[in-house]
Amino acid sequence: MRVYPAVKDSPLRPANVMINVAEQVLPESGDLVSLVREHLSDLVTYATHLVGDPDDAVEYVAGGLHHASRYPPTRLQLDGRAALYRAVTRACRQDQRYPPRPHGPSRFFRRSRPTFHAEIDAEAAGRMNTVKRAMVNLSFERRAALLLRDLAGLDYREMSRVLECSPDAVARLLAAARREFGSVFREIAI
Amino acid sequence: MRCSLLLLSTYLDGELNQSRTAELDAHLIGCNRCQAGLGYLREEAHRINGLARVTIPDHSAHAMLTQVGLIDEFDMLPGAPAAAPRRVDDQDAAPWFGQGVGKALPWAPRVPEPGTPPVPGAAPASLAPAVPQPAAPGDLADVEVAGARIVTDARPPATRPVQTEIATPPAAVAPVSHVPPQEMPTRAPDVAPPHETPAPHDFATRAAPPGDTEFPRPVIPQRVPQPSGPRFIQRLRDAVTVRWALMRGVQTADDDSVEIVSGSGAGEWSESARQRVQRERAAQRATSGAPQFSAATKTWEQATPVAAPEAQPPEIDISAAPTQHQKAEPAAPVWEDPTTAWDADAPMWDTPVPAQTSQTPQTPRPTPAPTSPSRPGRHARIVTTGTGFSLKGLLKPKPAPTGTRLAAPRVMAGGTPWSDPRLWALGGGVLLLLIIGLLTGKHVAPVSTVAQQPIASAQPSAHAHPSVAPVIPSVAPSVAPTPSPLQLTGTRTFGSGARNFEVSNIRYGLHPNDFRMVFDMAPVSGAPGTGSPTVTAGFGNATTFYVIFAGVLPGGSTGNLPPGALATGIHIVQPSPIAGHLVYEFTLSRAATVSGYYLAGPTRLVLDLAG
Repeated sequence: MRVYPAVKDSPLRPANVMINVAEQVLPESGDLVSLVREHLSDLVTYATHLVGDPDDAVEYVAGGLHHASRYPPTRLQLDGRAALYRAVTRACRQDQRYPPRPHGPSRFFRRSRPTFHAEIDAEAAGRMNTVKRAMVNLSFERRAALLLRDLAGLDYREMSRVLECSPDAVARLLAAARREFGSVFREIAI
Repeated sequence: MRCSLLLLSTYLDGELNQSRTAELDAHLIGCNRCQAGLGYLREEAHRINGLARVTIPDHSAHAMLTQVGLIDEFDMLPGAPAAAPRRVDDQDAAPWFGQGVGKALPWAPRVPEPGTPPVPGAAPASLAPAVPQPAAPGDLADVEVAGARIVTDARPPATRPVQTEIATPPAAVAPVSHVPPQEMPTRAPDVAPPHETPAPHDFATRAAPPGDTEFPRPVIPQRVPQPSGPRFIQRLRDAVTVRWALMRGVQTADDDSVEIVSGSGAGEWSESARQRVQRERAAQRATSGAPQFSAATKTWEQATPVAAPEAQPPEIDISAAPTQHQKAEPAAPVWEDPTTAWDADAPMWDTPVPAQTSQTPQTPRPTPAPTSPSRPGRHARIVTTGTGFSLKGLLKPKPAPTGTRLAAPRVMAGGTPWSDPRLWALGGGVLLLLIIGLLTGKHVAPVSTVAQQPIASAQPSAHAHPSVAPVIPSVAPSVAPTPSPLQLTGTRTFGSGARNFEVSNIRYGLHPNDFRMVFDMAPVSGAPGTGSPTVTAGFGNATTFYVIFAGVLPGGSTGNLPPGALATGIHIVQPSPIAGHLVYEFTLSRAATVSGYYLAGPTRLVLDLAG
């Protein structure tokens, strides 16, 4: 925003001069890209174990990143990672893919969108094992809590932002998830 | 401190404050249960942490973020190496889908060495004027553009050279090397010859305009619209379109598979356009004398009827296969046997050999009056053979399908379903199933003996003695059906099966624990009177008691029931529901059980009801 020197220097600014607050708050797009690039593999790993399929996980991560690019987190340096995980978690929970899959009968008459393509090395992550089989039996929230804490390494404050609850609720959710996971895992493994 | 999984989980994550942590540490020293639980939690956390990770390479991350829209296609990833991003789709696309897209050549284009003189007559290796050579190849950063390779470096603009090289395959260079320069074909107009001074802002030549020290500017390659490859739906659509066009082209104007249903050329509401056109053409041929096709004979004939059957036809040798032109000749009216007529559309291996017609000329027949418009064309034959049902048509083998016949489906050609033996087979199968269902579904329910017994009881008993008048009880007979002995409960059976007895009297007695009934049995006059008749005693319901005698006649009265007795009423069921049986029905005041025995000399039946 352009501020004239006379107005800028005057002690009493007129009321009709607007100050662009967004410049001070909204992050640079380069910061978001850097943050995404830094956590992209972790995000895809988290989504892969959350939904169970690497291909779906890539589309969910892309959907979350697309949402994050349109509505970037305001405090990128503080809770940018939590915002990215939150976007990905929401995309996985609400089946928001990128590109979005067409719904309804009109999809048969609609021109197809360009295909989304991403090369990831998810051979080991896509392989089913006992741990993943036990995690499948958990609910989405408990599975997300376990993965956010033990796989992604988020603390309770970040997890509360991701899961949209309080840190105390995160602690209870995590304890319950660990109890259920332990019982299911021991039942399956034995 | 209480043992809590929540505390242990929070302690494991390091989210407890210092005081609670110290407290839990002290608790863990003496609590084995919490120690084991903490160990389990650590193992589970370790297992989840050991899940496999997904690795995303830089080029894939770049492509992914590009598609999402976070970065531009030619933007660099932050923190990524300075190598140009690899476009993944370029490697997979076929080379003919667009210029510069895909790998057009199986080898890498040869880049001329710096300082190498250009090949005479070949395309210029460098379109830029002579510039100093770069100091070190390592300073260069390559950016691949469609069809060209632009080499730039990060040195100061004053000393920065620019080199643009057209990626020319060596296979294209070698054949034209001997051609004189004056015979070379003209290049594309967007490329200036090397000896000419390029335009100041001709971006294609990458030449520095005079006075522009910032040249070369950052190359911003314009993305060439890349046509995508044909998808499955597009190929299917094209295939259907081509086949449809071929099918329409093969058929004639009288094609009955394509019909104008509305607009110009359409028929009336009660007729199709095809019928109208055929009717008009038939009328036109009839008036003009043009040859028309006889559907019955499958030959072209004169519209004017040949009324003289005795007229001698011209000698025609039809051994040779006529052509379409010969078919259209009206001067050769020939009647042919439909079964041996030569069909130009039929395959050669299916064509029957007209043995007789090749030896002797056929006698022309008079053309029948056109009652219906003739329908030339091969579809007309299909329609004609399919209009009516005939066993001959069903049994006649169909010709081998050819490509043209496949192009015109028989259903669209107007053939009636009567000519399709598959429909007849289907109808026969449905009829057979119907018959089988009717036969197997006719279920005959077995008639129970209980139901048959009342019907038989309507007949007079064979054992009824005509001289003995039946005793009519004072109590009105019950309308309710009497159950058979099989339907009674608590039944008791007495007697040895003797017959020719009659109940002479019934006596009752009140006892402290039961109610006794004594049936005095007397032999019928003339009978020996030995043994005891069979008696079945049982309860129809809780308050109805039956005594059924087999082969016994009601000889005396039923007596008088004492007041306050368990039985409040008695009567003989007449007619007897069981043929040859005497049935007494007692009405009880309450539920009871029965016991009894026979007494001999005289024969008496004693029944005790206890309730």
